[in-house]
Amino acid sequence: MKLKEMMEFVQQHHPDMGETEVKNLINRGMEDFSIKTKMITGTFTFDTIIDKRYYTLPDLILEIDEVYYDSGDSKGRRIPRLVGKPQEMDRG
Amino acid sequence: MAQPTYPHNIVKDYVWWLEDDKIAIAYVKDTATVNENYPRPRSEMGEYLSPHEATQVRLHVVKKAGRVGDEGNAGKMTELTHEPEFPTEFHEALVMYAVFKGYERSAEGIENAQYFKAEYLKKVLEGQRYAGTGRYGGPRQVSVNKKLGIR
Repeated sequence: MKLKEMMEFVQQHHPDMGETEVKNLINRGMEDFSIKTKMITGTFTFDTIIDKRYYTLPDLILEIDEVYYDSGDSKGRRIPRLVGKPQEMDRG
Repeated sequence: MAQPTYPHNIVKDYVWWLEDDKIAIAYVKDTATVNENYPRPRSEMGEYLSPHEATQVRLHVVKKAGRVGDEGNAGKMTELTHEPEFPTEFHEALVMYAVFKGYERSAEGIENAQYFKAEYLKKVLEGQRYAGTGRYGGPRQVSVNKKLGIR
């Protein structure tokens, strides 16, 4: 269903609702449906920086399933998730 | 024989974890104590060091759908002809969400809101089942071993 059709369907029930309000509600619906169903999967890449340990995650990411290190050109080695946190920290 | 140059050409045991809403990447220092017992005492797990090289990391994630009007994100919906990232059978759920939220704005609409909310929640359950299958369907091929059973 295209966005236009979705908006028309909503406005059939709520003729007084403006375009912006309908779009906002559809956005909230998409966010709610994504969070509740965990249906949308995808990949996200970033580059490591020397001596930097922590990297900010975009808000779009709900859960991380797998991490591949040195993953340029669709390669990479899957690395395990550490249970807990390390006892010692370095400067990163 | 050439000596390996520390640390770039040594295969390291990298790990990841989440902390303060950030992903942490580190490797286990080569001097980690070898201990066959499980679980290993934390004091013997070695030191975790930050990456010593600039390379790419790829995350396979569960994510939110691209939003209406968002430029530059996967699944963006910037045109009226664009479709949501969800499979087609779940597009109706998004409409139901907007409709029930619309009815909730007034006291007279509460009954309609309850109906459309219930329909929306049914779609959520269907969606959870759909996501749980991972698009696999049908029978699995299994190998049967006379001694070990079904594998």
